[in-house]
Amino acid sequence: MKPVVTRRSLVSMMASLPAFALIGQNVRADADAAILSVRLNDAEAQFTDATLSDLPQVSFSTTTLWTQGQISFAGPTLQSVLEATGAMQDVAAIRLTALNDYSVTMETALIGPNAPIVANRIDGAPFSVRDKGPLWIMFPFDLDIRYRSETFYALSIWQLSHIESV
Amino acid sequence: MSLPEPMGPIEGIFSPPVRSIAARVLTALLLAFAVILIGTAIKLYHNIDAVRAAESDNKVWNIVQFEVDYRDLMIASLQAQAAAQTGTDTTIAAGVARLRLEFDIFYSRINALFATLHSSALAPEFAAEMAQLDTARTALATQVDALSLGPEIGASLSGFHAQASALNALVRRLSVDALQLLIIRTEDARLQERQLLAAMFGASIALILLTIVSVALSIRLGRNHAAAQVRIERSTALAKAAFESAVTAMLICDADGRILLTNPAASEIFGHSDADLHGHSLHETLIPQERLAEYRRFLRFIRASGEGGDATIGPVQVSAQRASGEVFPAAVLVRITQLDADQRLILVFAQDISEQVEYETRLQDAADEARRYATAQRRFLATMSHELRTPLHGLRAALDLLKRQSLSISARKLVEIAQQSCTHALQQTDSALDAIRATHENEAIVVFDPVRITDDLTAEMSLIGQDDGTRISLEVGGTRHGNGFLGRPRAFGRAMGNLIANATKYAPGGQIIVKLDFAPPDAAGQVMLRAEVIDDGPGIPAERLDRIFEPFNHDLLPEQKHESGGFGLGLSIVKQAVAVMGGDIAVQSDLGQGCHVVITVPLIHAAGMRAAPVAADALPLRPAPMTGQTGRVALVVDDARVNCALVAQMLGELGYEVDTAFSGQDAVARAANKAYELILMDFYMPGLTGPEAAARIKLAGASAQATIIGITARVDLMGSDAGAPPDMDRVLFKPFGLAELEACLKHGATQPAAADFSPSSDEMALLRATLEMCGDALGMALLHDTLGLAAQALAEITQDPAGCAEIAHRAAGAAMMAGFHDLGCALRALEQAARAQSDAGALAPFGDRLASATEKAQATLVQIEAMQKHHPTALVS
Repeated sequence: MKPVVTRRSLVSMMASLPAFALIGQNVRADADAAILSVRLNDAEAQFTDATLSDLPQVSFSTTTLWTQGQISFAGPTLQSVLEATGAMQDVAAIRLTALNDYSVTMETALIGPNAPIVANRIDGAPFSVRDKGPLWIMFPFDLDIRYRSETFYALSIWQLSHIESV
Repeated sequence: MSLPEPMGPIEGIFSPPVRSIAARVLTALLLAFAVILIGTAIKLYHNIDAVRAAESDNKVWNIVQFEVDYRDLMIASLQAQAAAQTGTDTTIAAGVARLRLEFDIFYSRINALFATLHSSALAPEFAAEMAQLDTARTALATQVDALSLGPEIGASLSGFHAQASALNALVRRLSVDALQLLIIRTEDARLQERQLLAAMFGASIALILLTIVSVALSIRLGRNHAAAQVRIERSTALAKAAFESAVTAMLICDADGRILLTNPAASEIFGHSDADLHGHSLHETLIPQERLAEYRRFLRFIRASGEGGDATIGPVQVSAQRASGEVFPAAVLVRITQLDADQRLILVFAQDISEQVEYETRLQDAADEARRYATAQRRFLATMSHELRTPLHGLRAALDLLKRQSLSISARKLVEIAQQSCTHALQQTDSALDAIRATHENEAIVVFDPVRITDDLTAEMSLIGQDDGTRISLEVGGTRHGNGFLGRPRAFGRAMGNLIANATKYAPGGQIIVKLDFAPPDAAGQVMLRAEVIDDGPGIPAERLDRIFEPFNHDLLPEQKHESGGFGLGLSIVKQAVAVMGGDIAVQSDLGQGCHVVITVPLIHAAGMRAAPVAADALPLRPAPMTGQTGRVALVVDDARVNCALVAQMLGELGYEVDTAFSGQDAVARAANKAYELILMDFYMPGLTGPEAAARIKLAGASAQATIIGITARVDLMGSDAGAPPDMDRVLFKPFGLAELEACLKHGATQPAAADFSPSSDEMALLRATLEMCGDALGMALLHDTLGLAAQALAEITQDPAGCAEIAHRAAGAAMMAGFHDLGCALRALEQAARAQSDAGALAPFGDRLASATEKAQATLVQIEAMQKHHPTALVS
């Protein structure tokens, strides 16, 4: 798969960002703003909603502990996001951090080709911080009982903002 | 000798030793099943517990985090207010951004909380609190969205903080209530799971118990099987003992006749060792060479009889062969049994009956001897009777002559008495002869015409009774479809003759009505003939009717006895004759009522066959005027005037002008003066006998060139044909009819065999043997098959003359075996001819012969079937 975002372009992109790019009334108001930063060892990348949407998309419907009823989640797989960063092979575990600084560590062994996804669409539309957006690590809980455990519940971090290798 | 090992599957079903092991293995499996079930249940319980705990933990985290996020929001609010009072634009902007982020986080947390607590079973006050929180959140959101980095930012932030602080108590209360709710729900869920698990355990235990019961039942069944096997072994041992110690030889063979098993008696009777018998075919060992064809036919029958159903044949007497080659009579019973879908067994039970047969043969010889003595006795009696008749006729003639002379009244009276006595004596001798015939005659069944016989009898009796003015009339009714019927004409003639004679005797000068009535033939071609003789005589007292059929019953009517004479044998002869025909007789009579006798006789309608030319003891006669149109003259010589008149009438019918003479001397005198073309002369006459008179006539005179035919009453029991005396051209045996007379005159033939359509007794005996051996049903089928083959051979002559020989050969074999001798010969001849030349034209004469033989055999078969159907014993006499 060809990485959408190269290291060089990411650096130049960062230089052009306003300091308060993330601070606004509404995330959706600024589609070009970086909403996810990933740093694996020395490699670092920033993703906007658009660059995430350029990655191969996976979608599924599931119920969760934190929502009501069946909901359709869509977005790139976590694996593709990490691979886009370009240094996934040396990483054994990553730390996922939310906007409220809640963080959790995930072993890369748990990352499959189809799950989890970095969901940036619920029922086909982007979702705001108030709706646990704009990014939510999501597992297909209804698809496999294996996912319905404390480990995966804990890993299903919403308002995701940073990923870094441990 | 021993029974062979039991067959494979039987051994498999009943072998017992694996039973206890199987039970143990089954029990162990059940235990393992129970352990696995329990283990799985426990594991499941733990898993469910773990999942529930995980969910529960996460929900608790959500609730706790709800308060934490609220605190974070409040901190961000305070910090933003502090920045607004003291900080730069940058710090203010950062503080407001921080506040917005924390609010959004708190906002989203409330959604998560609602989802966590979502349930339809929320307490109303709790739901109200949640609604209150939702409203407050919306209000705060409006304020946050309205924040702008202007001079009023400080006031705005203060307002927001005041409003957010007001939520403190609600947040706290909701957190605590939510936690409590979660704990209660978790407890409920756990309780429910326990109950479910308990139910599952219960169900599992019930299942295990059911399985245990099933195992117990199967063990019980296994024991029953074992017990059954013991019983089977016992009965097998018993059967084996019976088999081995039986006196009857038993042979168990397969459907091809291969011997599978024999008992010691078989070895003893047939003289073969076990090894000689087992695996060999019956025909290799026990069937004599000359009986092979029958044996093969039997096997074919078994194969042809198809699948299913057991059958028993016999017991029948057959010829069997010992190891020494000795052929002996054996009584054999064959049972065909279907062992399973594709195996049939032939069970042969055989007994050596050579001693019994020898004993029976000796008995038969003794009986034959006795019969010979009886025959000799009867022959003597018959001879005596016949010898008596001639002098009696002479006596009567002499008395007639004497009466013509002028006598004193007393002398005339004496002569009349002598005449009566003489007539009486003649009747008695006739009756005696009749009685002898009736008792000892075994008459063959032939085609005849009952109307013709009755007609002739009526004519004859009319002649005899005309002196008394007796009138006899014949009425024929019913449907006949031709004149030919299969039956016993002599018996019929005897019965009718005696009935009419009786009526003539007892009702002199009266009216006698003879009626014949033919019922329509039934499906088998049987016709019931009802013959009635009705007279208007004095009748028989009703109380004596039951005794009139007894022989020598003289007291019919004491006052008539003297007048009518006779032995009193008449009705008993009728009864015997009717019995021979398989019919019934009934008499209705009373004093002054006349007598009405009815006989009912079964006959077989013989479509398309002509009646034999003459019948029975009757002397057929057609009253016809003597005509002399042709100018041929004949002389009839007989001392018995009735005979003389009868023969004269016959010759008249044949166109002769007839003269009669009542003695040899008279005949010689007449023949010397008139040139007779033909002279019929009785052998035994008073004075000059027939042959003596013939010698004189031939010596010289006008009739020296005449054809002289001797007439003699053949006493059939004597059966001796001595041939014609030197001066007679031919001999004609009494009784004879017009046809015989004509034939004799035309061709010089003696009487044609009346039994043209009657199978020879040999053929009957052969067919009977076939039927006895095979049983009636099978036997008849075989006979029909044989005829079918013959018909096929006949058809082949025109269709495929070259292939005809083969079929003829097979048909010939079958016919010979079945007992159709003539048919067999005809087929043999055809076969030989067909092998020599294959021209259809050249084979035609053989075909004609075969056709006639087939027709004859067909007639025989019809006869046998009819006899079997109506008189099963008729063939075994």
